[in-house]
Amino acid sequence: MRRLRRSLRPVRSGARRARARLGDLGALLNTRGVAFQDIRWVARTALARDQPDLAERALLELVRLGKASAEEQRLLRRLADERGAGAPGRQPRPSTAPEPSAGVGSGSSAGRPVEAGSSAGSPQLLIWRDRADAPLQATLVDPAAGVPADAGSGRSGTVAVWRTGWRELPRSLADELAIGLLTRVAVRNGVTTVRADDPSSAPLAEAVTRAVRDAGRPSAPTSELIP
Amino acid sequence: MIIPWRRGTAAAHFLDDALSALTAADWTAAEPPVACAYWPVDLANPYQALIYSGFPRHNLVPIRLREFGRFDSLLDALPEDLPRVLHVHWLYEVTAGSGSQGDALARVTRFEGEIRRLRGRGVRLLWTVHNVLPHETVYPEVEKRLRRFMLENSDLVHVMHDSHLELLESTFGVAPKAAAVVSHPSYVGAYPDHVDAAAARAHLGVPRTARVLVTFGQIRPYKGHTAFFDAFDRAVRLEPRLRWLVAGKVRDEPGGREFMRRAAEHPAVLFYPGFVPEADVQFYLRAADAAVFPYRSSLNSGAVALTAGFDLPVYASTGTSLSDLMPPEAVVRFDLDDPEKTARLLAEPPAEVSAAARDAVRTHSRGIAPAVVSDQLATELRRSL
Repeated sequence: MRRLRRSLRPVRSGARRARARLGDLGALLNTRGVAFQDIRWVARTALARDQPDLAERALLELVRLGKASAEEQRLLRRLADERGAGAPGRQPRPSTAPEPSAGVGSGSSAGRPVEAGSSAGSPQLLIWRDRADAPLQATLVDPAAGVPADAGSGRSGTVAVWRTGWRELPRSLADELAIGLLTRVAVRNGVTTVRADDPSSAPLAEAVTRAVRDAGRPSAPTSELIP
Repeated sequence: MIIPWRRGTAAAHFLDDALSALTAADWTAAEPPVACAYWPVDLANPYQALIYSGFPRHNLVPIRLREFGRFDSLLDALPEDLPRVLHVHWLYEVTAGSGSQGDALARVTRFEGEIRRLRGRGVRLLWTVHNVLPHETVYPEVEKRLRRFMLENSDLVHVMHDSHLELLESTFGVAPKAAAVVSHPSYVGAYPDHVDAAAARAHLGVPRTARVLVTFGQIRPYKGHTAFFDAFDRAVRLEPRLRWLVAGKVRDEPGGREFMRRAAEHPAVLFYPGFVPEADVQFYLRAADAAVFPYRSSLNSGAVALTAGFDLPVYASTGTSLSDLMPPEAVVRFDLDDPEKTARLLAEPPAEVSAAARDAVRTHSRGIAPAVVSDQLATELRRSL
């Protein structure tokens, strides 16, 4: 009997997939006794159809069954990370296009850089992204040395933040690493002000500010913009 | 977020695991975080977990490098000015699988080239010397060359006893540029330990009145099980209450099958072949009165560290190096080539294996507890950077 069931499996699977292709792909996940190969097929098909929510559901099911490959495990982590951005406790995912006029947090204002902390004349750290989905960049600005602290001209002394090895990482992990690295730069250079040049980098600027402030250093920023 | 794998267990997730570990560093500390990748990774015993247990307190981030070839991907992902260390342990993987001396030499040459290249990328090299040469060495000259290279090129060489430095120099004719002498840690607290002797003996079926000796770990030619058998057999004739508890996997090496057959047929030997799960280790060690190490040669022994963590005095052959793992008042030495005398030592236990000796072991092993040793090694590494 068991052998018969096993021999019929590919036939049933093919029929299920054919039905799913025509109708609701996700329904296959709710089918009783669905094989993990079919779940994997749903994940792949959903990705190809740009249905990340369904792909995530299928990958979660593969993980639950202990059948996810290393590649699928990483894909799920990245996918869930992208979809979960913006949830409490997370660095918000940047919008698909820069929205400088929208502002971020209570202290921002339309069209102006978001600023965290303030101390005139002290080194500042300026953080930005060229596009909302582009790698993070940063520069140290020393107003005392006569380098203007505005977004445009302050970019000459760029701090190497982004590493090519981060390309495959979940966005939240890359952000955490960037926060760590920028915190180190800020501490080493006695930065008292962290400025974000666009809404997407504002949460990172805030996180750096908090990290430096929490270290209890005398040079740490004393105020913050975003509650 | 979801992390659908166990951290540090799959080479495929190396970069995610390594960089996630880095996020836990203190980026505001006066001393910068340091990425400390270690290779090869041995999960079969807790040694590495123990010696790195105190590293994060020094802002040193231990990273399991399960595949040597992946180290470059980590270097590509590290912030540019972040110090990076490669901590090399055992070197057996370098020549593993060599079909000839020429093949082994080619592998060593390739490895040397890789190490030079990595050092060119700013990697600091730390080498821990676990043994002088691998047990059962096939190509001794090639292995010596590899060790000379490591001595010459390591920024810091870690040995576990100060006598090892002289030994290295006399064996390889090279002294390290810088060395740190940091003891092997005892395994105190590394394994579950909640049974007493009576419960352990009940679990294993060992009579309460028996005098139990234990030898724990793999059965391998250099460990001298077969030679010790003769002495033990004589001892049992003098003291019938003696039992020899042997637990460990038998490798496919000379003498293994012969030992199994003799052990199976001897009524005073309790042989448990196979890998012992972590939770079961306590049964074998709590059931024992003393540990036996009949090694023909050894430099450092995790098994000694383990039995010391369970307060066991030891009978150790003259070839067994105990380094600083045991207090002298809890060690009985014997000569593998003199089974008659050894039998008498086993049958009439001297003060070194008394209850007072157990207390001495307990005190001593706490002094080289993992946290203490890890802290010392981390301090030495920091100093060398």
